Amino acid sequence: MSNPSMTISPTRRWPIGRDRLAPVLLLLPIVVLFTFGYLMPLTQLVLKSLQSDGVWSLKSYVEIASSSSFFWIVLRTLTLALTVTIICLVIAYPLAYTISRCSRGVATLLLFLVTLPYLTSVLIRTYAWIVLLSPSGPINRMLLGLGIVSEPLQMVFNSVGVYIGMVQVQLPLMVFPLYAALTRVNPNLTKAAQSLGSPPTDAFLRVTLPASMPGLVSGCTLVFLSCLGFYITPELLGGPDDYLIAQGISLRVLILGNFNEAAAQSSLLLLAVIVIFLVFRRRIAEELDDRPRSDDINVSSALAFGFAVSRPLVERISTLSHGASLHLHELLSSIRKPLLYGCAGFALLLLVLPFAVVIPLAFSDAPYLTFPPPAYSLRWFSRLFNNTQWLDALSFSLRWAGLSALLSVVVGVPAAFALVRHRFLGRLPIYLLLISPLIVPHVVMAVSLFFALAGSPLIGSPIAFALSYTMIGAPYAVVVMIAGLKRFDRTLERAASSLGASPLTTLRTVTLPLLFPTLASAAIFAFIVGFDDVVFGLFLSGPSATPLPMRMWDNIRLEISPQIAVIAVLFLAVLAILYLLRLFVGAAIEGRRTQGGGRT
Amino acid sequence: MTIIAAMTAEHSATTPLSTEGKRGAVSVDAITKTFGSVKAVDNVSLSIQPGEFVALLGSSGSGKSTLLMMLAGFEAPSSGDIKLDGVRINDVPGHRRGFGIVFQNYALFPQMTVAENIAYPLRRRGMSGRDAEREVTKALKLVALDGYGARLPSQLSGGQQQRVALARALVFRPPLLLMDEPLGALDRKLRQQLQMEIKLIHKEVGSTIIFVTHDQEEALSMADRVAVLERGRLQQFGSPRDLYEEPATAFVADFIGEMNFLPAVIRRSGQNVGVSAPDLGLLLDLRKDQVLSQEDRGLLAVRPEFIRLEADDAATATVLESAYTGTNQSVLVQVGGLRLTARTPVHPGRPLFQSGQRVRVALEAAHTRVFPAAR
Repeated sequence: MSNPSMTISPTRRWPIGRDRLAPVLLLLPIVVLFTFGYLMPLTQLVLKSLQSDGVWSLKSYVEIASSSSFFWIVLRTLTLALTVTIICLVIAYPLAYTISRCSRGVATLLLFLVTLPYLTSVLIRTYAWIVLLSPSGPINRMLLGLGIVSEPLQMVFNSVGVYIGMVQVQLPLMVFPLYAALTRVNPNLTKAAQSLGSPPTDAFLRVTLPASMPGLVSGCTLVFLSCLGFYITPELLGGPDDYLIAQGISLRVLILGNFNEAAAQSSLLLLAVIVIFLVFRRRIAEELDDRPRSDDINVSSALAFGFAVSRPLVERISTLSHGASLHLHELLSSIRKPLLYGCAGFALLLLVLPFAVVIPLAFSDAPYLTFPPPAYSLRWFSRLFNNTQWLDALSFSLRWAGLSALLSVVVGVPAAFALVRHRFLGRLPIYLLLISPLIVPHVVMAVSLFFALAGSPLIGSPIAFALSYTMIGAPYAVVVMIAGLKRFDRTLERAASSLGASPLTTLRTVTLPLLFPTLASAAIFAFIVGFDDVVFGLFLSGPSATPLPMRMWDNIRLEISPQIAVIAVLFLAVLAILYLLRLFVGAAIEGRRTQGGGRT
Repeated sequence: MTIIAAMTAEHSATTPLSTEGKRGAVSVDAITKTFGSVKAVDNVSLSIQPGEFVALLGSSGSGKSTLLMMLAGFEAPSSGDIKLDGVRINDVPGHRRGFGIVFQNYALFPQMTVAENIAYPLRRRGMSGRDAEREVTKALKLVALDGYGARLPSQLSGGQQQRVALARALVFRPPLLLMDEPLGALDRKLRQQLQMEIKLIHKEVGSTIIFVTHDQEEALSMADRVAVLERGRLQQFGSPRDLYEEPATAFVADFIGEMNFLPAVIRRSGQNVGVSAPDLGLLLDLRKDQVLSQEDRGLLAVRPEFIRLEADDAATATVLESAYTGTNQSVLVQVGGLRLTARTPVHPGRPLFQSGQRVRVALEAAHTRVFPAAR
């Protein structure tokens, strides 16, 4: 203030801490929520696992370590996770590659076909697989009809069913990051490689594949982590003898009442997931900043898959066998396209097959489940609308998933602003914390909440549902909003500012109106995540709080009727309306924007 | 707040959109901006008169845009002061400075119509209804877009969007208009047309204009004075003619127009300086002010039009290539280890220089300069 010009300066100097204060305020709500609803329960869970009868002890760990059945469960879970990851990669890569090389319109359609199952309840998809794979189901009938098998294959309620179902459920998680990475590869690079003498397949191996490694690593990490703690599909499609770890945990909590061992197993699962998450934290962090990928990151990711070691070898071998390899590549080049499209088509078929079953089934006239339906009617629709239990569950889910979607946006959007637009101490750890519920198995989160709320009236209350739905919905809101904010052209805000708009006015008149489609996406995602949830329902349901997925769950396990298909069709209809709405609004604004900036 | 108060008071001005009186004197005092260890702008000082049209010229990374963003209030200087009409404005945030800014890609609000875009700054100043409508109409007229108010930016061509951006930045009569490569996205013909229009509008409104460009032709043809920046440092601030005829540094000499550089040896004696160019076997007698090098070695700079060529079969220089451009012929000459570009007027009836032809090379000593050798 010693500067004399300050006295006539038109404004006061901003308080020094303003830039530091803003992110704190923006992050405060979500951090408080996550501390009480997520971090503290998980900490309690870990502490509980280290206690026995009220004293510190490693008894639970000793017990599970000495149990051979736990060893087999872990082995089975790891084998499943690894196998499903590899199968997903093999199936998803040709599809992602094909989509990335399609024209815009076709690509949008294909991406929609990948997104649709992703957004559709896992319950619904798993239900469809039960129908598809059953001994009298369409697949067995086709195989019998073609004479490939003489008696129906047992593909459901055993590990075959689990593998098929899991691959279908996880496939979109692999396609998205691969597609994102492949679209970033400049197609002229492979053309350049070809013009310099590489046959197409060789150009692919040397140029496209290495460039898509980041997406490949992200996809594999996502799928692997998601498989580790998956509950619904193995529980519904698997047999009684091949339990996975998530099933083991819920069994201990819900049926055996062996809480300490459940806490110990949950803690181990949590630890495994956190370790993998932290190993890949730099790749995950790139989603936040999109820096040009530095070499060391590439090396570390390549090392993880043994590529850094094997590539010079490939190079040497291909130099030695130059002529032969050229012939091989030429041969591959000729069958490359049919092979590629064949694989991509198979992946798409796998993704949409459940819908091909579920939709006709909803209009079945049969009083029990049979496919294809002998006759069509709306009897299952009218049954649904006349059943107050179903309707109550539906309204419960709509209300509380809706509230939590709103909450997710309210806490998630300011957090995304803080993370994208401010640089502050602890930014990366906070980002990792906020998105970690995307990766921490829901079983572990639900068990921790179950323990934390045990004895309190919150168990079985709608509040507990709203809280847990927000916990799993807010990360989606954060991620969607971060992506939207990164795309947002901040020059528009500077323009508003230069024209005299204060930061708040700029937010109100420019930023939020333009980000409206992103906000809508964030809310829709958060809603669907809560609306679909089964796992929290298993632990938190009570007589006064039964969400729709719990009714569906019971129906699939106890009677399995076409009722689920009706709900699936209604769900799809709502989803289609939302998607079209989103597409329409998005296209309108996008159109304005691209035309606006298109002449640059 | 005084700036906004002054702005609103000025809406009563009589002439369309002109700023009243002598406002808009900008001074930049020893300003520096560092990003990490990089000095994006390094100790730059400029003093700009009210109503002056100034171009900040430099290639990418020269710091010109950073300097403009500091003037706009979107970047804070690491040290140094920015003053408007003698008042230090370092701590005034961008939205209170009241400067008009035309952004590189126009930054028109896509969800608002042209009229809404232009009315935006008026509404922020509490003006609405009829008054605002009248001002918008006036502004649209100024940029020759009458009747386009109801359209969306996406329904306009690039040049039209550019005009809307200009109208929006001028409608509130800013004392200072900042333009960040405003014509960079347009094709050559449209660019030239808009250059003329912007000059006319400048005459009409009288605001001070600071204009960032990497296009030297644009800077020279539009600005009263040009500030040449290189790696954050101000190389020269002067009229286009000063820059071309009396470049202060070798960088400016090289950057503006075409220039030949020859190694030179300097011998000082009294008022005059003898400079020899060993490659040409020439000895020039130069004025002291032409020699900017303090050492006994330097770089002799000469523009192509001041190199004289004469056909001479006994000479050592050879014509490598030539290009006929109507009134002139550009000739690339090899002299020893050097290549020089000469531009000679074409006289009707006289033969052109041909590749392989031997020529004698001479320089017009009065139009040469000698810069320090280490560039």
